[in-house]
Amino acid sequence: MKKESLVAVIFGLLFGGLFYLVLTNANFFKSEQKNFNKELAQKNIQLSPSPVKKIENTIQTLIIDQPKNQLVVNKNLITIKGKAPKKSLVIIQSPSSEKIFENQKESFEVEFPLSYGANQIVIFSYLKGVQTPLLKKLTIYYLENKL
Amino acid sequence: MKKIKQSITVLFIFLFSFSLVGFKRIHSQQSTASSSAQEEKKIDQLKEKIASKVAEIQNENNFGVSGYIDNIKNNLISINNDIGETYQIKTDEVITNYYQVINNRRQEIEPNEIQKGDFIIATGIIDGNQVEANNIYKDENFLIQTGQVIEINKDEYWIKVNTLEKEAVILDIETYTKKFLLNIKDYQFESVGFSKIKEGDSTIFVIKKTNNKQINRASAIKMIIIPQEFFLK
Repeated sequence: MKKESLVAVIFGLLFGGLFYLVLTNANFFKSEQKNFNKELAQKNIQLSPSPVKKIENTIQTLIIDQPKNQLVVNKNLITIKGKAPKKSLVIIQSPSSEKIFENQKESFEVEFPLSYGANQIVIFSYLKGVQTPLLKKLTIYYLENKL
Repeated sequence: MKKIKQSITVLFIFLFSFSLVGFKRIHSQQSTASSSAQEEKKIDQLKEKIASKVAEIQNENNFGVSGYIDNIKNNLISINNDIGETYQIKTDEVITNYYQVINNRRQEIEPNEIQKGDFIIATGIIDGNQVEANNIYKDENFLIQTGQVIEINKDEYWIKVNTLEKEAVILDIETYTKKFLLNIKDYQFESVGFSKIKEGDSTIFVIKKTNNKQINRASAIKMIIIPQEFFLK
């Protein structure tokens, strides 16, 4: 065999080997990618939220957004803002005043009079047919308070 | 003649341009004056807005604490409230003012007029359960509760109520007790007598609270009666 032929064969083997390696690695990466995709898909299935149960489209709790408990005010009237179940009977009671209304929407906003000093206010929400009301207690101070 | 005409024309042109310059000057002065007045007005409006916003924020973040005096020692008052919280109120001989709430207004009192067991409100700088008091108000405290009427004594004018906390409270119905019955048709309150209260009705009642102890019997100040029919579907 001529020297040139030998060199050509060696180079051929080398290139062939390299080509083989490239091909096999490509398959390996492809299969890895496939596995990864599979895992990801499974994870996604696990992470996706469970189907939300359809509940009645109204809140079943009593929330008072305003005023904050233990607030000091310098007016004899306060706005009470909150949320209560629709159609519930809302009674707001303090030692000096009371207010009653049927909650037409979820949110409500009412003006409530205050007496001078500490005002214990309890907000009740009665659902028809349920004797135990939802309730929230507030203490609001109506004072001429200078900072 | 031609010369006169020319000079008149030149004079007119001169006067016209002079009046134009003058008008412009006056106009620019007027507009500068009016714009500065407008700016001043805007600044005043902005000042007012800032002041009202500051007052609003102060009002929204102005809190107080209240409770029954447990201990008074030197310049420190310890109070307990209805939900078991304790506050240490620091007073100052110069800064702290003392008042009593009487007939829907305040009346200044001496520091030694507040005693152990009194219900007080403290306002000032609040940091956790520590208060540096600017004002202390001696007041009355009330309790509002709800429950079901389980017994009526028509001879002694009292009713027994089983509260939501499963405690039995006897309410003495006094001549001054305000009694309202809920009209379940129009959701209005009707002033009623003792005879309209039935066993099984629900009631919201207001009583005076004198200390932090549990109340088993008290005179009712106010009662709202919710007839049992309201709860029947």
